[in-house]
Amino acid sequence: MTWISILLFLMFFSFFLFSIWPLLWGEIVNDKESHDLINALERRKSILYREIQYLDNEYYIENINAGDYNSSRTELVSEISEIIDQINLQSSKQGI
Amino acid sequence: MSQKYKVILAVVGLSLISTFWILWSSFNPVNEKALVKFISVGEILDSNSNERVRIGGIVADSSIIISPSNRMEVYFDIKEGASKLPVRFVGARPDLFKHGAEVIVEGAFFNGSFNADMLQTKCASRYEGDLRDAASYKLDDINI
Amino acid sequence: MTPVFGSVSISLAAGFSILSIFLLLFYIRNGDYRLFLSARRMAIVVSFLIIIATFILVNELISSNFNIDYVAHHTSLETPTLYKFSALWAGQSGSLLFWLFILSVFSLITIYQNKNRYHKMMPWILVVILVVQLFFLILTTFITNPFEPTKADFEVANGLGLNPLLQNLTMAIHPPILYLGFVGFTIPFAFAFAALMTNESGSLWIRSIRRWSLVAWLALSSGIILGGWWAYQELGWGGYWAWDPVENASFMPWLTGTAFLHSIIIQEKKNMLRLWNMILIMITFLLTIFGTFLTRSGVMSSVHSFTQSPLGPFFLSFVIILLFICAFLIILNLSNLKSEKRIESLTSRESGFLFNNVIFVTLCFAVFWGTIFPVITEAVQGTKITVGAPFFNQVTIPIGLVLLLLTGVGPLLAWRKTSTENFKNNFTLPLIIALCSLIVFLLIGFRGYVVISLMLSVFVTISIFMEFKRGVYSRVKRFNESILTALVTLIKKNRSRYGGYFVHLGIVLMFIGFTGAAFNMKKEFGLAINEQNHLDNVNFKLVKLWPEERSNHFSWIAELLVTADNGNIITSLRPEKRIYFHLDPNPDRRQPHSELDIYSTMQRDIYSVFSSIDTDNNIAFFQIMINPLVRFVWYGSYILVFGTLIAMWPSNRKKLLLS
Repeated sequence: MTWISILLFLMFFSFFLFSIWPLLWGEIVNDKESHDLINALERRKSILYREIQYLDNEYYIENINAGDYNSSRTELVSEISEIIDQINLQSSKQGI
Repeated sequence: MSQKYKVILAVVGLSLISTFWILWSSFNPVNEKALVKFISVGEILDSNSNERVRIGGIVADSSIIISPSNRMEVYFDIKEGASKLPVRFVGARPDLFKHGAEVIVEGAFFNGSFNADMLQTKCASRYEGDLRDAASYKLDDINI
Repeated sequence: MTPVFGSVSISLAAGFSILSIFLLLFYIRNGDYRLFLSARRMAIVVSFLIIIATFILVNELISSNFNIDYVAHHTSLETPTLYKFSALWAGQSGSLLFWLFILSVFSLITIYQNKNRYHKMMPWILVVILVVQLFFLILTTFITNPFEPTKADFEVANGLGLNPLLQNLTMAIHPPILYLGFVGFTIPFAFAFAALMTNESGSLWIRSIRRWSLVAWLALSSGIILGGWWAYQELGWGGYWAWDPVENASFMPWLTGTAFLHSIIIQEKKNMLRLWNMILIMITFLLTIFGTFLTRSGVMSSVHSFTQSPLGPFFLSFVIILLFICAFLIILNLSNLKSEKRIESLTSRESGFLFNNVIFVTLCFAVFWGTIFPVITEAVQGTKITVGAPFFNQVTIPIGLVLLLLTGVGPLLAWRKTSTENFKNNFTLPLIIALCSLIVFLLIGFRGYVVISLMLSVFVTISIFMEFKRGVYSRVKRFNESILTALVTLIKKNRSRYGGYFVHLGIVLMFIGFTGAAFNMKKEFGLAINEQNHLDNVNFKLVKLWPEERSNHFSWIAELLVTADNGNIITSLRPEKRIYFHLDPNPDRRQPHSELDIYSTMQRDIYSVFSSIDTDNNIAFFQIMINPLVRFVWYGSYILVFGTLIAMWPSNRKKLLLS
């Protein structure tokens, strides 16, 4: 009976120790948020690329007229170039 | 009119129409079964109206009489507190319908008795029951 | 000893979650990364403790430890092992623990998946999950503890057993699947909340949120359908949906969740509707909690509801507090939620999605209104008015048909704006075919909603096929692929879109099935041996009637020979009248149960219920129903699940970028 209690106590105590362990470490610098930003931009870029693909396809099967197609495409391309600029800026900040 | 306002107008219009439709329907039910008053046994005994209502209560002890000529037809009393209401119901009875069961009936009061066309039972009391009963009910008894 | 261990585990989990929430809030204030790392470990510990507690309860259930109140109330020695296991979610406190268990598994998955992502959002995501966990932990620790010892001053020899209605495989898996759906929406809600708090740009987390919402949506849909299927197979009233408050409770988050899945596409592609999406996911989450409240509180009388429980006020206050917090935070961050772009035209895909959303939300409002109407009338007029299925049908059928129309129209509209030539190209064929079908249906003799519903089903089906045809055709032309390869690559390259079309197709089939209900027929009659009766053009003859004693029940079995008017044998049906616990000394504790039998074809179901028996005269009484097109509902749901799986299937992102 008692040894089970001791075992349980040890187990719960080890849970506690496990979770407060990082607090005993030295200062950690968290520089990962900028990674997130680049990831987000990359993701946005790939979405836009797919949008262009989709648009091309719609145009190809004559589901959209030339005027709309051209204006949409220019818009998407300009948005992509903006994002690429931002990605470059962020990467250079990090010195990658 | 600019496209932007057209879109806003359409969305607002659509939501208004649907909301109006929902509210209108709740005051103009398509048939009498759509919205039914839920009243107590005492209330229906006091009133003389024969409008369609829903009533809940307990099936009074040893009040269930199944008509000998038509087994689909059943007579029983619903009690709620001290008041008792005789009920007639024709149709398939739910499995849990028995003395002491909590039931809900729907129908109209007519000629001193309540003619129900809907009979529902609430959850089986067995599963909310007293464990003392279970103690006297052992595995050996039910193994066949 | 072990039950104490379970109790201690959930209490400790509650303690750890409070600690973790504090650490996270501190981290958000001062940014010391160690605090976050520690808090994340604590969140892992919380989930582990909950999972351990669940395993302990399952173990006690299976080993029939009747010293635990929950075990004694929901199982007995003769309960089959499978149902001892499913008793975990048969009662109130157990199902709360099970709810926590699912949330904890989801929490661990979220933590693992995103250990190197969303560094800004993660603290908030964890806070939300932990707060929800804490709420349920408090309930299971203080209000209904599943590890409560049996209050009895005698040896409990046997438990009460599990309701035979629940001893059914479908019923064993229906609640957990529904719970997966309910709990599943906590994670997208947590993501949305975190994005709101950190003002994170949409593009990255929307992917995660969509995946999670799809998982939750699939579970919720399957749970709802399984529930309907169970009701149809077991309850014997011949239908699959009764607009019962608890059914509505699961249907409401489904509606808003479906709306969310549609409008999140717009946000991902166009960065529009940000505020709207935030509101939608919050409402969906709140509705899942509200749904639990409806199920657990006993406010609404329902076949599902547990008898009076003290949980109602807790859930209601939790929902109201969350509602206020969400509303407050949205108003506070209103400027961040402004979309950069606007919808450009009324006839664009974007506004199609928007209308779809409006309809879904009004449908949800209609269901909500009908569900709480009794409460409102009681408060206002003092009389309680019950809302029956006819009301819900009256209100929702027209709205549902508009939705069906949009399902067909939406995909035919072009993004940004649909030009006139576009209209001509895309709409001519579906419209012509739909109108032809309209004439055919009118000639057959259908009237009213039936005609509209069937015509719209044709319209939507044609428009879906046209979408596939167009996609395949363009690939065939561009890449010289064979039709089959083109179809497969088309779906592979855009799973969410074409998976979505499959889901639409499933919904159309289900609508056809719902429409069949307009022609349902029903008759009740009694038969002696060799007597017969008929319904429509089907004859029923009682050929055999015999009793049988089985391991845990006693059964009367009737054999009905079913023949068509011309004498051809259709089938024979064997409905049963069973009595469970038939040896219980107290006759009131024996439980009758009608085991029904169904003969099902695409065209119609012949549904037979053995309702009672007159043993003196050997007359059996039956309830016979003929329900047309019910199979369409089930087949539609298979396609729905198939389509969702296509949409969910992880695609290889690297491959996509290369292509």
